[in-house]
Amino acid sequence: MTVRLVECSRGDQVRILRIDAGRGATLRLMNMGLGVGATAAVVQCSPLHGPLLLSHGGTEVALGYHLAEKILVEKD
Amino acid sequence: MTLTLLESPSVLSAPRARPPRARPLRVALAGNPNCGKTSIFNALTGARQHVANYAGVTVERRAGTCPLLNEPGELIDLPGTYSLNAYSPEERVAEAELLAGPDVVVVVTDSTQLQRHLVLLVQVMQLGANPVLCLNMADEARAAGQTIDVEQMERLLGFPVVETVGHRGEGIDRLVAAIDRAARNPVERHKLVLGEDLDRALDDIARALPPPARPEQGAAWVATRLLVGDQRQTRRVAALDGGEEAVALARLHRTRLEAATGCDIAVFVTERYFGFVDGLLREVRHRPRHVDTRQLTDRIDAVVVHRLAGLPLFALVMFAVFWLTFTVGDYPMGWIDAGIARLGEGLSQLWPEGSDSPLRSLLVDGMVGGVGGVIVFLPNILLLFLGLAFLEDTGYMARAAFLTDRLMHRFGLHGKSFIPLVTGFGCSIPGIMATRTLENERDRLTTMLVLPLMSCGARLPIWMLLIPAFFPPAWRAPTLWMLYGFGIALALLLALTLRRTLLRGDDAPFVMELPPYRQPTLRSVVLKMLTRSQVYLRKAGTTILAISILLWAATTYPKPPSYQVDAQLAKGELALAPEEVEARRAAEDLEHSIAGRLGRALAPVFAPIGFDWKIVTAMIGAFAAKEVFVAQMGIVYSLADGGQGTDSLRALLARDYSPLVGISLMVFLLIAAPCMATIAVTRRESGSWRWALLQLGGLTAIGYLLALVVCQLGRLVI
Repeated sequence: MTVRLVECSRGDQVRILRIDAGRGATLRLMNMGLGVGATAAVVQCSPLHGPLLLSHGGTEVALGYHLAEKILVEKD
Repeated sequence: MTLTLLESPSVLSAPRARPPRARPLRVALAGNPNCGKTSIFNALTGARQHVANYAGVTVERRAGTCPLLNEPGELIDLPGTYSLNAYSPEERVAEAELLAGPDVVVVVTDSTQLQRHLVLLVQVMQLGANPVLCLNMADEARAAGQTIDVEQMERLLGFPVVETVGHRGEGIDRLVAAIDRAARNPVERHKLVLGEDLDRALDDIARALPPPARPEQGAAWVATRLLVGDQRQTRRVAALDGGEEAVALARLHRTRLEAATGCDIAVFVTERYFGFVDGLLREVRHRPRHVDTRQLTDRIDAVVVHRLAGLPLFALVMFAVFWLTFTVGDYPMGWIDAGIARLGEGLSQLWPEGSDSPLRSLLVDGMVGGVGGVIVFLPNILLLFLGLAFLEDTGYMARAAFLTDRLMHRFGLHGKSFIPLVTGFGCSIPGIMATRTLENERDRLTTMLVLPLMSCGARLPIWMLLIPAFFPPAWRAPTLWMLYGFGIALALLLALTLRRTLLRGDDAPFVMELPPYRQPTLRSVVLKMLTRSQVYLRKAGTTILAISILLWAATTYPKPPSYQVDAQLAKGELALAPEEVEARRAAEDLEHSIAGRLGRALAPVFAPIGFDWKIVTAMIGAFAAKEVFVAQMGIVYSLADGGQGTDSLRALLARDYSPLVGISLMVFLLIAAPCMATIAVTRRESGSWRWALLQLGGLTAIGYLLALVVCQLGRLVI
């Protein structure tokens, strides 16, 4: 199922399909191992448009809500 | 895409000769954040290091010497960066240092994160540097079942590769030997393959570079920056003779590659970096499938950053840090206070009793008193830094940013603003320095500018004097809490205003790596604490010493030609104890001094908010250091013992001023005119006087206006 990352909930396994953010943010995500094609687990999401916490290949990455909105993922 | 390692002769990898060195060996340490670079740096340099700032930016420059090397060497610890894409001040600084051509560049990586961390190595290779690859945290990688064929990796890369465990000092001897080896035999050409299409484009652009823009090393880097359209490099090359051609060629290749791949050129190049790393790792790394080195961290985080329990837990942790800071810090503060008093007495005894030598007064009252007043807070600062360094090294601090991000975001701040603001309750100076962790310049400035509204430790003595003077016992504690709360609320409101006006701009996207939880080592925590407090101490020795001398002069000169109290005594109008006479003289001194006159001159300005010349004079002192207000008030009221928070001073205040003036005074002192040291630090950290003066002027104006509102509304009501 294809959804925006913000629509995922705790425990979901996701694969990144598309990143519609600017170049700086896209490169930063890639440097953290979260480029297109990467798989990650949603460790935590905060209520009321708070940041998300993703776990991926041994790294935890916190993502602001507004950035997570721009990431399209496939979740099973 | 995965790339195979092929050698292809091109202009990018032409052999080159390095001239013999006539200066110390220069070694730079580069690496991602959280790769353990600092522990490697500490292991190499020990205590032989110093921290400074890069000119004009708020990035720390850590340098040191390493005695272990064959030849004298200077080590530079570059700021932790994921890449050299020049998106943050740290990345720009790291790029500039690497372009300056250090003799050896040690690229430190986390062995459990090689896939990501080696990308920086690729860029370092493009820069034509002479690298040593340090595979740090090798123990954790081994524990997870990973093995690296180090010899094979050295063969493929063509430069030394060393496994280390930095925080335990393992492999440091091998690393030192590798640096020596690299210094003796610099890499002649890098075997870097980024795919035929990209390599050909880069080669093409590099060939077109005019000679001055084609460093013997790093032509690949300049070509890459032109290809991705980096503005600074493009402008630099375009300004050169024949540079336009290279720029145009780069534009052509960009258009072509973007059309062929359908993605942004910078993203495309970064993908190729990852491709090279994948190819390399495939040849040298063996590990079982599905290793999760993070199980423990994920499990801790399920509780620590829990959507409901996370914030209360965080509040508890912060409370514990502050409680420890202030209760434990009380003891050494007492000792230092006593020591300073004794030093003052000792110095005084060099002069005959009753001497009014100006030199004695300058030394004892001006320098020892002024600097001592700041040093007294050192235990608090050390303890607060110790607590924060401990939390940072465990990995918890990064979680704090995650937890508070949403709240901070509402007010135009950032998750990473929280820690500096909390530090501000101790002292604004380390708080402002802590804003360095904020990557976005606007976030950093906003945090810095509103930070003095956090009621700092030096203001506590003022509240202790004023609150009991004007409020009945039952109201005292709530009033204190309200003062702190008012400061916080105002800071948030002001931050929001700043972000909507002067510092308008897009929010920096919040992306932050949370390091795994680790057990901190004593050595690393203590070193962190010491290097940070060093800056504070140095300030006490320079800025504050100078200000103390100025202030002493302003409150001492000119002296009155004669004392009224003496005249009155001579006429027999008064009968006073000797110490009371002294106190009256001191009060007359102050009234006659520059500060006293200034106080009188400024009094009309402050009359609308209820202040008289006495308060204004004391406030001039408070500008040097907030807590001076209490001592100055004591002098103005000519209390024999200096009136440090005594009941008699409170009684006098309650007699002379209405509670309304008391509130107005507290509001003004909370908001207005952060101390001189704060202004000086803001100036240094923001890189310009403009922001420092805006902070001074803005906060003073807001303080005045709010005090005016309190006073005028109060008068209407009462």
